[in-house]
Amino acid sequence: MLKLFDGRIFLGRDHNLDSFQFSTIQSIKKMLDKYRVEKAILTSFSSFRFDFKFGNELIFEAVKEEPRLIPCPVVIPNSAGETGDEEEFIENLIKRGARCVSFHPKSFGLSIDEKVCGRLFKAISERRLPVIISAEELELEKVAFLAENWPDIPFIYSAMNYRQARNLYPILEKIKNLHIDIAPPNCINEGIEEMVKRGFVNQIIYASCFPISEPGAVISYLMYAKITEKEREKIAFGNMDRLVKGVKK
Amino acid sequence: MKKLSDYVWEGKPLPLKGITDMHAHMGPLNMFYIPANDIHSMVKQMDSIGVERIVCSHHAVLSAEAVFGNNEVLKAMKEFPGRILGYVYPYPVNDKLGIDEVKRCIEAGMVGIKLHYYNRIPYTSEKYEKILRYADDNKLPVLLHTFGDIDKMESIFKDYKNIKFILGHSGAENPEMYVKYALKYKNLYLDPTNSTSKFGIIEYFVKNVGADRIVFGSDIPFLSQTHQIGRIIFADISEEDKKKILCDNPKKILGK
Repeated sequence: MLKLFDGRIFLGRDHNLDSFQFSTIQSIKKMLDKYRVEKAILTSFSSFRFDFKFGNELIFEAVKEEPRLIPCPVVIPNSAGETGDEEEFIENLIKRGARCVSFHPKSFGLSIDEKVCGRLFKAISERRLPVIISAEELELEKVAFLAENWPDIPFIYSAMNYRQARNLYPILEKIKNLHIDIAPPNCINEGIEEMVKRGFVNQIIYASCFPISEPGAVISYLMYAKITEKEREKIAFGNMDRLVKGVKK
Repeated sequence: MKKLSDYVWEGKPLPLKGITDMHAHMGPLNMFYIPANDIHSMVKQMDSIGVERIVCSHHAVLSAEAVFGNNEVLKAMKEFPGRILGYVYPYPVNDKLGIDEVKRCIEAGMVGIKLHYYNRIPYTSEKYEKILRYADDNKLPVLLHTFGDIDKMESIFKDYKNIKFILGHSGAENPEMYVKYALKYKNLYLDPTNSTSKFGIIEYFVKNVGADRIVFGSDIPFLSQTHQIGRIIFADISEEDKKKILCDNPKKILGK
């Protein structure tokens, strides 16, 4: 039976979603059971829609109730003195169980300029901590720019629009520390087969973005993909597992 | 007894007979790269899932090359009889590309009409009157591209009661509006095709409108059919309701 490692799920309610698109720790547990998910990376909507400190505390509390969950707090630079020293900030997050962080330049009105984010990315890079960036937060070429500048950080570009293939393929080919998840709307016809054929199998991550999207759609997309079982296993579990195990504690 | 979702977990074709995808396309389109957009690749994908039929229009119809696109669909219908069904796409700037093209393609075996406002002509425009009258007289289904904006289309729902309107991308925006209009007009069917695969939307529509009024659509090859069918198969609704959405409702709409 295929093991699943969900690379992106959320806790709570996002302000721009419909009334039925929300999650609680109970509904997350139900989802993990239903879809046979062994591990999942959890971020709180409140961490980027309201206050990162408040939202991050919610997920650190939530993971105490459910061992399959791995906290993915939202990080910002200390450019205005909100986090304290970046090295200590990151060290503390890892001590509390974080094995990934989520970066939201659009929601926080942040530039990705070295002068603003350099110290934050240096601290992340020293720990090999994976950074997830949603497509709605930053354009693909800017994420590629970050990944090129910080080659020791595994970046994961999440929920990319399915119309980006022409830009995505050369970037994935050149920048091997950049990964792409298959969370909707990244669901173009035979998109998984196409990426695997082009040699990107180690850069593809299963993610559902529950409760924004229906995990069953992504599972079906993966299960019917015409790829080998070994390739399917990497996408479903192995790639994300490798990235979180690479974090320097 | 095996559930439908068990077949997905095994990557095996679904065991239902008559699964029909009511929202499909074919061919390339400049806007973005579309892998496996040819009809042979699409049929292979249908076989792998157990989809028996698709009703499709060609991407060329989004340009002024509607006649070329319609002819490509007619060719595919001949190559895969009973599996590829066609929507004729009119380009109603004149009768030749409008009503005459619709009649030509329906007489050649297409089963319905697809309309999209990509051409900047609203469905309520007088340019569509002859086409919608013809569809109404002949009780043809009409697939409408919509995106949370069906309030602008109400007059045609009211005026053409014999048309079964399939509302493409139902609930991608404003799901409450789709429920409201589906309850008001019994000739509306909800097609929830959407790249975001909104969590909970299938259950929301089944609860508020009923499974009898929902159809399966995928937007293949824009989106993967394998992706869109997972939304129905894994929804928290009964297996009987899934069968209605995938097989029974399309059969009712198409009359076959």
